[in-house]
Amino acid sequence: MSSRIAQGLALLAWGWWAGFLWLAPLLVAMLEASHRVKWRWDFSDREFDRLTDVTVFATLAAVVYAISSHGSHGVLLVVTWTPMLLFPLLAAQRFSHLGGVQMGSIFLSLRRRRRFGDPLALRRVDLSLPYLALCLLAAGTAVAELDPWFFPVSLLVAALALYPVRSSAWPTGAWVASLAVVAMLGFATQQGVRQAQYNLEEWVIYWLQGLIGDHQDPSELTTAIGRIGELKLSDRIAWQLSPDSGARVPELLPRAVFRRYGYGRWSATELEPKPVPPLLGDDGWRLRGDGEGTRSLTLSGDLPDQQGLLPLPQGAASISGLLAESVRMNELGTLAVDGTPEFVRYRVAYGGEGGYMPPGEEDLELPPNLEATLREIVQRLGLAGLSPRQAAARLEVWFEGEFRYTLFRREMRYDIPPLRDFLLHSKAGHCEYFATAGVLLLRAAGVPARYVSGFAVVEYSDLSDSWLLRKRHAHAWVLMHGEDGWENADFTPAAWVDEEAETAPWWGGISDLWTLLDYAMQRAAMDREEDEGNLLYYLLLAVLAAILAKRLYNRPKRLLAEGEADSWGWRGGQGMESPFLDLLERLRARDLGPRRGETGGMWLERLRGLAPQGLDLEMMQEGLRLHYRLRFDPRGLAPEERARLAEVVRGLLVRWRSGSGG
Amino acid sequence: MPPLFKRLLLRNFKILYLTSMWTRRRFTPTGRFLLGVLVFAGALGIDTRINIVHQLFALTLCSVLFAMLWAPFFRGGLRARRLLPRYATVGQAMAYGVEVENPGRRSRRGIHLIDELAIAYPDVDAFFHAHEPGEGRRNWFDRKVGYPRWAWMMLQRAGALEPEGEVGWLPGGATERVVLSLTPVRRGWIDFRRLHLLRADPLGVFRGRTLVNERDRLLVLPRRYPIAAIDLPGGQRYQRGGVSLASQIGESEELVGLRDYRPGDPLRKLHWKALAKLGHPIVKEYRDEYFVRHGLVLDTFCDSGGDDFEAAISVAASFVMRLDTRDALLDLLFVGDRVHQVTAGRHTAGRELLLETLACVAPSPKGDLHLLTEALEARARQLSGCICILLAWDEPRRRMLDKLEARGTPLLALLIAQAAPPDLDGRVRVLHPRYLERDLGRLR
Repeated sequence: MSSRIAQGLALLAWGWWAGFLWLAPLLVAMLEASHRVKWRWDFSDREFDRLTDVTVFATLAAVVYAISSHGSHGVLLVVTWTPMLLFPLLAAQRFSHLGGVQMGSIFLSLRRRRRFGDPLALRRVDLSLPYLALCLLAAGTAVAELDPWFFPVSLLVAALALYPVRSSAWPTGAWVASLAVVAMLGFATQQGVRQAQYNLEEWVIYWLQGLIGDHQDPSELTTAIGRIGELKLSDRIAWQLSPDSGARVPELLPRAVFRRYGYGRWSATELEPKPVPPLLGDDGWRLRGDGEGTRSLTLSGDLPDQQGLLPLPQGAASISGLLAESVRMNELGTLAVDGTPEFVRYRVAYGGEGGYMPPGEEDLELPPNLEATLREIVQRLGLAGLSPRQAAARLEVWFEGEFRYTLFRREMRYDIPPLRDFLLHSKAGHCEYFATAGVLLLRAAGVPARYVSGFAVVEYSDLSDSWLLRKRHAHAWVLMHGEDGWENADFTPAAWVDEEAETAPWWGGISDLWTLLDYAMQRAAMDREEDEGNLLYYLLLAVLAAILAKRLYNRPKRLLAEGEADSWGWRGGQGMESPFLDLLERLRARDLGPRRGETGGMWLERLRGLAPQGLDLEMMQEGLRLHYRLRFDPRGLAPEERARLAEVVRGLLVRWRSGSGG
Repeated sequence: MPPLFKRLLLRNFKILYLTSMWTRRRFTPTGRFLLGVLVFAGALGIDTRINIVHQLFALTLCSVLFAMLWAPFFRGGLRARRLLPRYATVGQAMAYGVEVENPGRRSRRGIHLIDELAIAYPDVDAFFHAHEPGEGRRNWFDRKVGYPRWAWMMLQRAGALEPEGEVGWLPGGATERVVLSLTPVRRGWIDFRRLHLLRADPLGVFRGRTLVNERDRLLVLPRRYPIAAIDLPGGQRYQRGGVSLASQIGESEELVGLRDYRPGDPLRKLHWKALAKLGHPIVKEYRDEYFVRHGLVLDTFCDSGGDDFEAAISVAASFVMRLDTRDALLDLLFVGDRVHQVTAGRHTAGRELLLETLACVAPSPKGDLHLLTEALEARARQLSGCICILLAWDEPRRRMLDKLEARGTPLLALLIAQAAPPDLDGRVRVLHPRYLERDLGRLR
């Protein structure tokens, strides 16, 4: 009985925490019904094979769906669904006369072994207890915050489930005491585990910082030279860009703008991002002015952390279609979002009047340790006094002629700052070096300039009819303030795109196909009108359920024989009121009860051999004879015989208690 | 695979197997279930920030560790001994008893009993040359890595799954007989190593253990099937050695005379009265005998013991059971390191000897069929009829049958094969190794 309560409680707990409270009571009722009905379906092991296959297939489909819609977290999501997905298997077991499922039905690898009589493949297992544990695991997976009820409920379920299988070597008191100790230890341990993870994380972060240096901060409002170099090692598609019909795509797509440089690091931390006002009557945000732009494009991609910086074309006026809890932007035009799904899609209107914040003193700042070097180069190149565009053109020629692009800087020197090494010695590097050098040289020549990191839009895909922004397309360039306001200047030699394309792995096509398929599914899921779709699904489910119910109803059933599930007729029926049953239960608790398949005579004979103290075997024989007649004789017992049975049992119990302490 | 890697693999298999056996013996089914939950909860709850499965992990871990703390407190103090039958049969459940005695005054309850079987671990060659039946149907990983084959070999070498049972309540000074059941998976000897007497902790998770070193052996006979009444042609033949070999079998026991004892004469031929009178041993001489003597020839020439070989053994064992050894002799002939002949009949040995022999026959991959043919030719004159159980059909086997026929020995030739070879003689009948019961029942 306690295991039945445990099962019900575990299912309800799962329903409560996993958000299936509408379903869990229904499942509990179905399981409970299996104890009430007097028949069983005549399922064969082959039918269990098929049911397992369907269950596995449904679970795999759920995994694919969950991963495609929720990324890696989808795996945990499927775990929360498993009690629902695996329920048909448990229900079939409960309503089948077989009483268990063969291991060969559960594991495909064992299925073929049944033919060879593999005992493991033929072993029949009861799924009830594993299912109960699954319910608790699924409930725990669904709860993100510490819930004060989860631990006590789990403990209660575990206690109810394990009570019937406790060791008969010990009194019940020892079991209760042990459980209490385990509960206290368990509670302390779970806190310890949590604390240990925090400590470990802190230690690992500390250790990693010491090992590789502090390259970035989570808000991404600082960046160190080398950050993009790391990204460039990946061929993965980060974003997909689709311009609205006929519109020209921007060549560069900024993601973050910086203006302070020092010790190999750009930062914009002094400019706190501020909340962006939402557009009235639309699901969008106004980034500048009235939110109107002359052109628009749509971007879609993954934000696995559900927060981060969004790439925007220069002059972005508004974004729409973005699901986010908060959208904030700093004065340099860097847009940070939080509380988004793991996949985002948004439309950006851009172009027209207005743009970045006007230049200030910070846009002319030079790092003191490089100032002399920069001024010397500016003088050598004759940049001073030139217009911003002329200075940029001369710089571009200089970089193109004397520098070369390389992703890996093998001959790096550690005795001088990396930028000085780049400008004076190695003259080789990737876009971050060119952009940083460009910004600082322009500033030294009196032109306000900023450092921009983002993506170069260089790859068009016919397959998806869109522009692909891969991680290796991450790029850095210069934003300089010229005659017409802020303009882009890219000093990285043009060959960088081709050079990096060569690093693409041979399996890139397969990976692209998967990513594009994933994006297409995500977009389809976002576009689907949920209500309409759900209604269709529910209709389909209802039809399938009706077909299944009809087939099950028409199946041959097998009536449960009296006491089929247990020896000695413990189940309901004639004579269940016999007082002898109470005595039997007490004897069973002391391992003195009849064993499976043992007749009453054999049992009494065994007891004679054991000679248990306080048990009058002659009276037992008389009581057993009367009990049998009460249970199995169609005429039953006469009232005086019933009284005699009760008297005999009473006498036996009194002697048993006084003789054995039981 | 390089030899070093093979050895390493086998070593790991052994460690894995020993660990799994330890877990199976020491943890109760509840305990093993909790171990499974522990693994899953550990995997799912590894990040305590995203869910609270680590609470289940902690609860399960503490249950298991706390349960293990109780194990050293079980001292046992019980005695046990097995009550084994003489034989068991492959594939048939056999019940045997274990008497557990509680010599102390305190009563015991909840004692679990496991009977450990001895295993000789395979070496690298044996493992990599073995083929588990149906191994081709396993998945790629299992076939290449081979742990299922290892597990199968362990079961084959042990001979059966370890029997276990519950002792129940055992008062002080009492002895309880526990009935254990064992189903042998192969023929030959099963070695019992020791008895594990175990008691679980209060939560019913982990068992404390006491060991009783009690070694025993049990011979498992081959599987046998009913055979329809067969009528082997051929009458009684003259038997050199006469009644000294056959005693009561045959026509009569006619005394020819007395002679002096010669070394090697059986004691039962001593004439005791003459010995008493003369003071030196005198033996009785009988007339040589005529009686029925059948030959049962077992083909053992195959590379390794597979289904066909086991089927051939079973067929031979079935004939041993069918043929009457009260009024006839039965010679079992096969080749191992040399030609073996074992004879059963009244006053020589019972059919048990033949079954025991068959229980231990091994394949003879390097054996020479020519030896068997020669041995048969030499005995052909004595044999009233001969049953040949063949594992293959080729020229040497055809010649063997031809030679026996040429000497006038009536033959019943049976070939164990899934299908009849195209060049098979009409005198040979085919028995399918999987449907022996059906095919043997059809023999006439």
